[in-house]
Amino acid sequence: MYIRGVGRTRFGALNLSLPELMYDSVMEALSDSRLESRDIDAAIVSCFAPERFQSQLHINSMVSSLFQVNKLPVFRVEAACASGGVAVNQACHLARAFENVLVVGVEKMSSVASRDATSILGLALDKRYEQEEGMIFPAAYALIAQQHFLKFGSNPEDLALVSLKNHSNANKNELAHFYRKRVDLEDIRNSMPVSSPLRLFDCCPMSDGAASLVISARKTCDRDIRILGSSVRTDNLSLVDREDLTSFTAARLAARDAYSQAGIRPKDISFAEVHDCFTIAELIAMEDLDLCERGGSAGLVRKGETSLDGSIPVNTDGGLKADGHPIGATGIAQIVESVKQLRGEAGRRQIDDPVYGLTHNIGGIGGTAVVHILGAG
Amino acid sequence: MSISLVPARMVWFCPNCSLEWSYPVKYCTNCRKETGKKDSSRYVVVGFTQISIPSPKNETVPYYVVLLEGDSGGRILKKTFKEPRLGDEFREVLSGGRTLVSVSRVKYDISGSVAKVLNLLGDVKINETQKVLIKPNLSFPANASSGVVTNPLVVEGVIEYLLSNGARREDILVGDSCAIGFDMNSILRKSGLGEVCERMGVEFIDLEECGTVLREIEISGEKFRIEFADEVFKRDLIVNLPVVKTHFQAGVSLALKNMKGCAKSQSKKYMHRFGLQKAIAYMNLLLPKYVTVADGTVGLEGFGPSVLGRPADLGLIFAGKDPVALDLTVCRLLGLESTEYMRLASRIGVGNGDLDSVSVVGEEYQAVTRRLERPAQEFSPTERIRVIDGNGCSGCSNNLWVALSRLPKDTGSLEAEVVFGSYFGPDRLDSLKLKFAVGDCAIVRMREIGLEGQGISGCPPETEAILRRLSEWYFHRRGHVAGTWSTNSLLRHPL
Repeated sequence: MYIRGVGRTRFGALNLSLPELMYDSVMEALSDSRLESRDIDAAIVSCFAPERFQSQLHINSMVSSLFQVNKLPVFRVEAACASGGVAVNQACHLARAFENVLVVGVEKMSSVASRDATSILGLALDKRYEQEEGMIFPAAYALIAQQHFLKFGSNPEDLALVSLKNHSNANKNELAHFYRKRVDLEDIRNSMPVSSPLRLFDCCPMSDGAASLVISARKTCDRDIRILGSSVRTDNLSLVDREDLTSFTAARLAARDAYSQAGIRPKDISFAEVHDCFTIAELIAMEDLDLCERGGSAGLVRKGETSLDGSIPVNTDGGLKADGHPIGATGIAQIVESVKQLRGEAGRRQIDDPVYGLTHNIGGIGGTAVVHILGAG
Repeated sequence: MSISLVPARMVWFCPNCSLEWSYPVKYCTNCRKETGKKDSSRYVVVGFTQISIPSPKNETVPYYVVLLEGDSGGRILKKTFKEPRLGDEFREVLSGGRTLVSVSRVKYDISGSVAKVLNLLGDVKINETQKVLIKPNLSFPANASSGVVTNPLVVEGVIEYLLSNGARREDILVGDSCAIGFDMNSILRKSGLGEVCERMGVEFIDLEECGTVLREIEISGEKFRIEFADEVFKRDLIVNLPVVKTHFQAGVSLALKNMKGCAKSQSKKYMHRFGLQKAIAYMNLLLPKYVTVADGTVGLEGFGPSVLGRPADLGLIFAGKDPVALDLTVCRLLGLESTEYMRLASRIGVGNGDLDSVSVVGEEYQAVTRRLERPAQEFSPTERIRVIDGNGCSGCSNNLWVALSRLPKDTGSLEAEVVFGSYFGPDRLDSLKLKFAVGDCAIVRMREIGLEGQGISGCPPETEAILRRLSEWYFHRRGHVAGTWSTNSLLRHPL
C-alpha cells in the first residue's frame, strides 16, 4: 500500500467547525496527491466522541456532505485515542477493493470546558472498575509511571527531559499546538501537579485539528511512501487486568507483527512517532517497540539519543505532548509527519537520511495498539 | 472496632483453561466449560496517585486512586481520601457507632455486593426454620434499568444469600402491592421479577390479594389505623427491598416509605388523606421489625417516583437493620434533604435518627457521595394550568402527571386548575377559574364543598382519559374542534 498524499491542519484551540477542519485537511491531502475529489472511491473517518464534544453523530455522512457528487462508501472508526491508527490500518484493507481511499481524522475538543473534556476522555476507561473509582486518564498513567519508577529506577526528571525535547521539536513545527510556546526545565519541574507524579507538562493538551491521507494499492510516483507493515492488536479494557503495568502487551504484539511484515528489525528504524499522551507513555513505547531493552528508555533520554540529532529521534513533530492530540486525528498526523520525514519535506525538523519510519498509536491504557512501518517507495 | 474492607471484586475463571474475566462470563469463551467465581479476602496497596484536578463526579480534590492487589491475584482500584502507603493492607478502623449502615459499590457482580452489605451488618440471623418475606418495590410497570422498580437481580441476590445461609426455598416469599390502578402481572413481566422468581423457584404473592389484618395506634390523642396484608405478620424475617428514588409527594422513597406496599389499597388512600408524612412514620410503628437492602444499582432522581423521573445510575447498594438510620444516611450521602417522615419516625422511636452515632461501613463515605436532583416542588408543563395536590394517592398523581407532560408546553396566563385527592378546601382554589377534578376522591370532595367543575372519574382515571379531556378543553379554547388532529396526535403515541 502507498500513501499518495497527506494533509493536516494546525492543532490547537481553533475557531473552525468539524466539517471545516475536515475540509481543510482533505483538500490539502488531495492537492498533495495530485487528485481531485472525484478520484476518491471510499473513505474512512476517525473521530472519538463528536456526540459528546459537539452533539454530533453520523460523522461518516458528514464526510459525504463535503464530497457531494461521489456518494461515497464512508465508514467511521472509533478506538479511543487509537482511532486514527486503526483507520489507516483499515484503509489498507479497503484499498484492496477501492482505487483511492481517503482517511480523515478529526476532533474538536475546545468546545467544552476542560474538566468536561477530561470526563469525556474518561469514557474510554472501564465504567465500573475505573470511572466510578475516580479514575481519569492522568491518574492511570500516573500509576504506570509509579510502577516504572519502582521497577526500573526511572524518575520524574526523565519525564521532564521527554517533555523538554518534545517542546523543542514543536518549536520547529509551525502546525504544532505549542509552536510558539518556549519552555525550560524549570517551567516543567514547577508546573501544576495533576496526578502524582505527573505534572501539567507531563500531559498532552486538548486540541482541535484534522489530518488526512490518500492511500492506494498502486504506486504512482516517487513521492509515494510505502506502508511496509500495519498491525492492530488489542488487550483488556481495564488497567486492573493488565499483566504488567510497565508495558502494553498489545503494543509489543503489534510491533512484532509490523516488523515481521516489513522484514526489518527494530534497529533498522530511523525515527519513531510514538503515542506520548503522557511523558511516561513515551518511555513505555520505546521499550515496547524494542528500540531499547526493558527499563532502558530513561537511559536513552538522558543521553539525548531521542532528540532530532540523536541515534533514534522520537516524536520529531513534538509528539502528542507538544504538537497536540486531537484524538481522532492523532494517529493520522503521526503518519503525516513520517511521510514528510521520508520525503525530506520536514523543514527545520528534518533528520538525516531516514530509511524506515515507525508510528505507534495507543487507545486507552493500551487497550488498542496500532503500529505502522513506512519506507520510501 | 476494625473491619477489613473487602472491595467487591469478583473474578470469573475457567477451571479448564485458567483464563480469567472481570465481567460475568458464564461459559468460557475459549473452551465453553462452565466458569467459577473467586474473590480475595485481603487487599494490599501496590500503587497509588494523588489527583489534584477536579472533574465531574469528582469535585472534591485532592483525592487518591489506590491500586490494590488481592490475595487471589485480582486487582482493583479504589477512590479514597485517606493517604495510602505502598504495602499497607486496605483496612478501615471504625469508631464503633451503635448503629451500622453498610454500603457497597456495585461492579458486575450484584449478588456479591448484596452479600457484602448483609455480611457487614454482622448479625442478620437466617436459618432453615424461618419464613421470609422479601418486599421489593413494584409500584409501576417499568423495566429494571428505569430506576422505578427494584432491580430483579438485587432480589435474586437476596434470595441467593438467604439460600446460602440455610433458608429453605419453599419458605421464601416475594411480595408487594402496586400503586392503585395498576396491574401487578404486567409489572412482574415488565420488570423481569416474574422471570427471576420462576427461575429461582420462589413464590410471588400480590399483597393486595392476600388476607387482611388491622393494626391501630393512638399518638397524642390521634388515632391511626391501617389494614395490612396478613402475610407480613406471618413471617419470621422481612427483607425490605426499596429502590432509591426521589418522590414528588414524599420527598424520597427509601426503607420507611417502601413498607407502604404492605398496606391494602383503601389504607393507602387513607394514608394520603391522613397526611402522608405522618402516616409513613406511624405505619412503621405498627409493622414488625425488618432488615433493609436498598437498591441503588440505578435509582431515580428528579420528578420521581415513576417514569417522569430520570435513572440516576448510582451503582450502590445499602443495607441496615434500622430504617431511620439507613434513610437518613442515604439522604445525606446523595445530597437529599431528610424528609418530615424520617424525622418524625426518629422522634417516635421507629429508629435512630442521630447520624453521629451511625457508622457507615463497606465503602469510604466521602468517596461514594453523589448529588441527586430533587423533585420540583411544583410541576406543571404549562403556565395555563395549576395543579392542586389534595394528598391524592400515587394512582391519580402518576396518571395525571404523565397526562400533563403530554400537553403542549407554552406560556401564558392561568386559565384552569386541576385538583386530585380529597384533602383540599375552597381556599386553595380560585373561584373564577375553570376546575377539573381528577379521580373519584376529588369529584366527591368538590361536591362536598359545593364547587363546580368538570370531573374525570375513575380510581384512578386512565392517563388517556385525563389527557383526552384536558386536551379537548385546551385546543377548543384555541379554536380547534374537539377530536381534531391536535387531540388525536397527542393520544397517538403509546404511553
